[in-house]
Amino acid sequence: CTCVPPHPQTAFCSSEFVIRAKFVGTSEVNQTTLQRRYEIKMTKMFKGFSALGDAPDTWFVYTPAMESLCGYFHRSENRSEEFLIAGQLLDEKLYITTCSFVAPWNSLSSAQRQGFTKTYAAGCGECSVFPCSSIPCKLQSDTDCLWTDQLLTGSDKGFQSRYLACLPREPGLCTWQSLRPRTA
Amino acid sequence: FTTFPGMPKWSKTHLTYRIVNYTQDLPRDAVDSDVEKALKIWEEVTPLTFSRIYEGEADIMITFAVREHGDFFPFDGPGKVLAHAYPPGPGMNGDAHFDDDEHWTKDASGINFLLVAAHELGHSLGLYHSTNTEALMYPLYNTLKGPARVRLSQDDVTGIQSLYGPPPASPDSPVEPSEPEPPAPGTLAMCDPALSFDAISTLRGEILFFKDRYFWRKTFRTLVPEFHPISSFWPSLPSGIDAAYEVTSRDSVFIFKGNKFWAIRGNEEQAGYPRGIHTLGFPPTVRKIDAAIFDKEKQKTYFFVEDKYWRFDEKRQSMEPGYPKQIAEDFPGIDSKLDAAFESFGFFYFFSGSSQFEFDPNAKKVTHVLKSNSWFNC
Repeated sequence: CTCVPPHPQTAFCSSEFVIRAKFVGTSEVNQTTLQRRYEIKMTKMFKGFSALGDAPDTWFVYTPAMESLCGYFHRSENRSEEFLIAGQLLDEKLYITTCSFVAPWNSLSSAQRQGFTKTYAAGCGECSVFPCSSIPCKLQSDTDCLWTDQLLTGSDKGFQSRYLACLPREPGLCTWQSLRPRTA
Repeated sequence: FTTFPGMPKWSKTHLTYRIVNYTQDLPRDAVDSDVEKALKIWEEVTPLTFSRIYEGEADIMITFAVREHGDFFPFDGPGKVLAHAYPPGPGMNGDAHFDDDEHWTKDASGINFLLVAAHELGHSLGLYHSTNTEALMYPLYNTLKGPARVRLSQDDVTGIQSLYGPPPASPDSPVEPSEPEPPAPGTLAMCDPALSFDAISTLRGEILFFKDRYFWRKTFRTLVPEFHPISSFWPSLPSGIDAAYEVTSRDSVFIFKGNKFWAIRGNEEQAGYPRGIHTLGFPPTVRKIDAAIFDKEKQKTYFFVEDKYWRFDEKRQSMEPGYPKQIAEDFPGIDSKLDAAFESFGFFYFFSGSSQFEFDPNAKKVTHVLKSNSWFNC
């Protein structure tokens, strides 16, 4: 398995569900499908209402059992810790991989929390975060925002990831905009 | 490093592979040669050997696919999951799948196929992920490792050898370790004030200092230059080269030894080489080049041979009339036999033994005299 970690806005936009949840219980592996499932308690849903509907708060999230197949392995034993989980729906099941955006809610910056709660959605239709991994980078359109965290810091958790969203500025143009609270 | 739970491994040392289909992003022969290179990386440090088959069931089946593709683990469109692979075993085990929603490239402009293939094939042979960020088996794609850096770390070597052991010893062909060899004491110490170079060239903004079988690679990202065997980047280049220069406008570096020259582009060796230096227009009396330098502004290359120099027009691809001329006349202050030369920020740097001369081509004079290894921040 090889991953390119997404910018949180890309994670939000390209995921079919985005939730806040606690990992409860232990994981189980289905030896036929080679999938592992974790029991989770959902505390908040940011995306995926139509598919998940008015569901119970206890769910299973599925992932490949092997890490070479991009299986997610949950390391925290703290059952009350909340995680942001963004993933796909596979046969109406929640599905994540180790390349999905899964992070302790408390580790997110306030800008990222605001992004997942409301702001990232505003960029989804038109704007896209374009990762630049080697120089020179070419932007393909005015609705792309150039993401250079990987290049400049060697990590996907740089400034643009923690504080910025790629949002429409005027029709046909998207720019990075800060989600940091303005200091008066 | 880690291995799969239960440590599955191949019980034979000769494995077959098959490239089942191709991506539209790359020419087929590029995929073929990258897969071959990726397997060779593992082959060099183990008793394993690989041969390609074109039909039927191979141990390692290599496929490109998008989304749902016949296993329980669909791909996810561009980004995120790039590829996945199965542990050693029959059937789908051993197979490697690549997400064709990625933009696969030979260089680092998209997703470098060789880098990902080498990692996935590590899974096919029985390695799990490593937490060591230097390791090829580290799960995050990192272009800073770059296509030129597709090689095993010690962690990967220890990992794969824990499953298969080292390659069989053969007295007449010593196996080259994939880690850079430590310099032989006293002879290749980069801070030795007596250090001289065989050839120096820029390469995409970096500077390569060649010496014997090795080169130092200076980037502006790192203070201490990297040190590698030449063969770990360009297997067919000779050691002890004479001259090298980069034609930035063609993204090519030309490497000279004796009466032959090679062309490389990044970590790729260009086809159709080596060629004879006389095809460039040198008279038969010239048997080797001492140093070469490319002048970006004029798009001309200067070739230094003994006390004379020639000038080559890179645009017209021909030697200019009126040459050779005397070096000492047109480059006053440069009067000893040259080992190496390169251009940086408009200055020409000439190397002769342990001395280096910074030459301003506009003022036509030497502006600084330095130690040859002044670039290494010793």
